Amino acid sequence: MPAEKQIVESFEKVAAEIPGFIAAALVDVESGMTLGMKSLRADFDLAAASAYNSEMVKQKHKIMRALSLKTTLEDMLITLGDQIHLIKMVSPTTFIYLAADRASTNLAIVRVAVNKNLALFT
Amino acid sequence: MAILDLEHNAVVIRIVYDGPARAGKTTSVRALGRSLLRVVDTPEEVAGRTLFFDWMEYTGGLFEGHQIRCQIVSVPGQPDLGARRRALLATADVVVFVADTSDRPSVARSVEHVREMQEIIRASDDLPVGVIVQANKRDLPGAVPRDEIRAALGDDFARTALTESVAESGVGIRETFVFAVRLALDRIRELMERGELPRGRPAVDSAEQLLAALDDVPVQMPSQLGAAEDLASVVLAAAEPPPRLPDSRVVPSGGIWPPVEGRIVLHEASSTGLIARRIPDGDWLAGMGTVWRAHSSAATVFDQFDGARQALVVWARAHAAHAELLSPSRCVVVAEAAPGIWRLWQIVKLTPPLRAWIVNAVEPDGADELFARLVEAAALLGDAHAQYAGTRLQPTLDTVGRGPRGAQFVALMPGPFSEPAPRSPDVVAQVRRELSQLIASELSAQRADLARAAGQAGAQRSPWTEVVATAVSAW
Repeated sequence: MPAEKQIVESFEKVAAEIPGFIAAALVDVESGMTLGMKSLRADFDLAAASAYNSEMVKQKHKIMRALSLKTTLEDMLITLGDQIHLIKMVSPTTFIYLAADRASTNLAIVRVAVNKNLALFT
Repeated sequence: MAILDLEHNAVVIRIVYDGPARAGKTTSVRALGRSLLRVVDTPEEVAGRTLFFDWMEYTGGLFEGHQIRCQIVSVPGQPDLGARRRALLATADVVVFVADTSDRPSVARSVEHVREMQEIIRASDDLPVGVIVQANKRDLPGAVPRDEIRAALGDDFARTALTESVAESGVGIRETFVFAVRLALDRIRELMERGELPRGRPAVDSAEQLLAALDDVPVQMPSQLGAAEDLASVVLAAAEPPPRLPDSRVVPSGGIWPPVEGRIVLHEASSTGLIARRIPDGDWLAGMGTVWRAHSSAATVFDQFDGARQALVVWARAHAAHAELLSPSRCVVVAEAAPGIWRLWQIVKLTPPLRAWIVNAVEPDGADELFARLVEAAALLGDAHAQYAGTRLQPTLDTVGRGPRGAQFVALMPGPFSEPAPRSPDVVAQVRRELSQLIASELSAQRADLARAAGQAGAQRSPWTEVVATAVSAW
């Protein structure tokens, strides 16, 4: 797992490639704690958002188990009225949570930028 | 000590940082505080050594729909304070063992210490407490290789997690913390399944309450601590019963200054449930872990109300004379400490001093913001030196804060009968020295970035920019 400083630097790189980048965090699935984060908006409570999204990941895993799906969760794309949220699994224990402004970007750009830099977070 | 606090929908866990003296426990907790933007309370420290504990709270993450509230505590590492260490370890849900791995003798000492720790936590609970060994000081040239550390730890720790860190620069600290939370949650899950997870409010929920609990723990007289006299006075003081704290409902007429606002300040402060404890110089201090500080000097104890009242008048005059320089929300009050004994208390609502304001800029604002804060702090300190000339107020990074009109004195006011502290005539040198010490102790990891920021600050250089630039390069 990269050090916190590396995580922040990696998110800076991702932010530069996504127009409308709002915030992103590398999150521990089990606890919902952030391992490192980058936010361009002071009013965006990234720690709380990360914690609640970790619950979502756990619930999705639970659903997959209930359905006996023998596969892995890769990512979750969420479209809000004015924002795009991407949850990208980095490893079985960590995921990237990223929020971007919908008017400035689209899901494809967000996904490509995150996937391109994914190795930086492993 | 894990507990499910349903009132606040939180599961409360305690993460204890253990390890031998000088291994980097306090440095680790402070680095974590910077990373999580939280303040670390250290109730007592002598010559850089923790006498009680470091305390920090952090709420983050979720567990089974409950918030995770972490009480992060480090233990004193000195052998003489072993009783306090054992008392703290006995309450751990997970232990982060900070090992000094800078050379082989240090590793050997750490291994001895970790075995001792294992005995303590085994004895205190039947449900195993998770342990992470955080190999610290990995940046030093003689640092012992990881495999060798593993071998030294032996079979008992073969399955214990081993993380690496450089606490001074914060490397590896947050990852270790998150890992520790995971281990604590494993334990809580097990407690829940057994139906053994207690519910309610934690018995100890603040640094102040923990301090009060530890005051009852006996310690041996010191043999290795440098400032032995200070520690001895702490130990001996535990025998004296604490005085009653001022209560806004029973303060006699004429017993508080300022007369109206003072009662409001006192009411607010006392509603936080202050607990008084003796400090090394024989004074009493309350408010640890809260935004309030209440202080009563050993020199302001009286056997009659009138004597206390006369002293109050002198203190009130001193406050009024410096009102423009002081932070708001203060009062001085006479209170009956015990039947027939009156004490004078000074109560202050804390506002962040320059040191906290600078250190909190480390993340996430970057070196430029940090450098700008250092320059502003230097200018404020310079102003404070000029404004406080001829007063007993001592301008330092810990006593001066940012007020609406520039520098303001945010600490407890020195007593009107105390000798004024000697002041260096060379203000610039004094400010530079303070900043250099701050950079060396709290900002060493940012030094290279600060040097770059100093180089780029060319366009808007002020005399204080030069002072800060010199402080950065001097260290």
